[in-house]
Amino acid sequence: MSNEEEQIQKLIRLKRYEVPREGYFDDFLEEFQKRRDGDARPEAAPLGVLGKSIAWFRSVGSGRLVVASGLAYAALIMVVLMWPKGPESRPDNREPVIFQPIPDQGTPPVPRKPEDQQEKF
Amino acid sequence: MLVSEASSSAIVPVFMPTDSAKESSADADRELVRRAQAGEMAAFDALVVKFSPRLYGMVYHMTSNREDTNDLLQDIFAKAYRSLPRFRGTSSFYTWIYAIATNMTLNFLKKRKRRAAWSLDDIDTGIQNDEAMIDIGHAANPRHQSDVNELQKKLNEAMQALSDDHRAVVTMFDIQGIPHAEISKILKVSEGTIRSRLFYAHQQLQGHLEEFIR
Repeated sequence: MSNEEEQIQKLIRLKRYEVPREGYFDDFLEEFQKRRDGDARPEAAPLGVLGKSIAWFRSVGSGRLVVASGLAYAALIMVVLMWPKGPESRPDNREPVIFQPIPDQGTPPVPRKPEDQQEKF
Repeated sequence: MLVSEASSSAIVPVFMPTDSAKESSADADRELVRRAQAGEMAAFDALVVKFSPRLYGMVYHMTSNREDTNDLLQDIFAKAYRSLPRFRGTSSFYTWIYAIATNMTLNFLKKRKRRAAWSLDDIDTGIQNDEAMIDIGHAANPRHQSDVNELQKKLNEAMQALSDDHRAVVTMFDIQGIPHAEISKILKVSEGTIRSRLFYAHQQLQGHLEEFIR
């Protein structure tokens, strides 16, 4: 280890003297116990869900919420536009019906009535 | 100028327990954890009392802000309390809670950087008025006191100039005296990576604190 590096380490070690005010850790424990007791209280459970939701929204931040809402709105519009409509608006994929004359397969001749023959003559 | 005085002072490491002390401390922690897992709140309180000063140091040197440190430390212990039933004891409680603290602090710092309102002005002046720090170099000498203040300011600036990962290893190794192997377990990276991060961090710090090491 170089001399400079050793000196740097000695300087940085001076930060060990940065300690909180006296009594801080007693207050800290008290604050922690209050928080834990609050979380553990059974009647706080239904409100806890609401409280957690509020805390979550706060932690997310307004900027990110705006972006997320925008994306969600855009996704909703896309879904609405692409949602399949009713049967009349569906494209007709059926084969077109082509009408063709039926070829004559030798229909039996209709027998003529004798009266018709008489009238002719 | 100051470094010679600092080096001559007897600086007691915050975290340098002997092997036997470490072992008995780990046994005591295991017992407290077992009792806390069984629902004894006082046992968890004892763990809070034992570990809050060490974790405070780690979080404070990472954030350089006392209010943030307090809030974050409350969140860290709350998370540890909630996760305690899942703690199986494969690592020591100390390593486990330090890993929780480090991850939460690094995540917090990422969020803080994204917050537009936060600036370097929010960094605490720290030990400027800390009697212990001023005592190191004869507080009676006003010139020396201003040197201490200047050094303290520069130290904080230099620490904040480091990346979060580099600051984490400097905090744990140089300030808190945690050995490389233990840091490697806490951060889940190799010891080589820890040594390399320390080397680059020291080089960067040298650039910022040049005037104090001449």
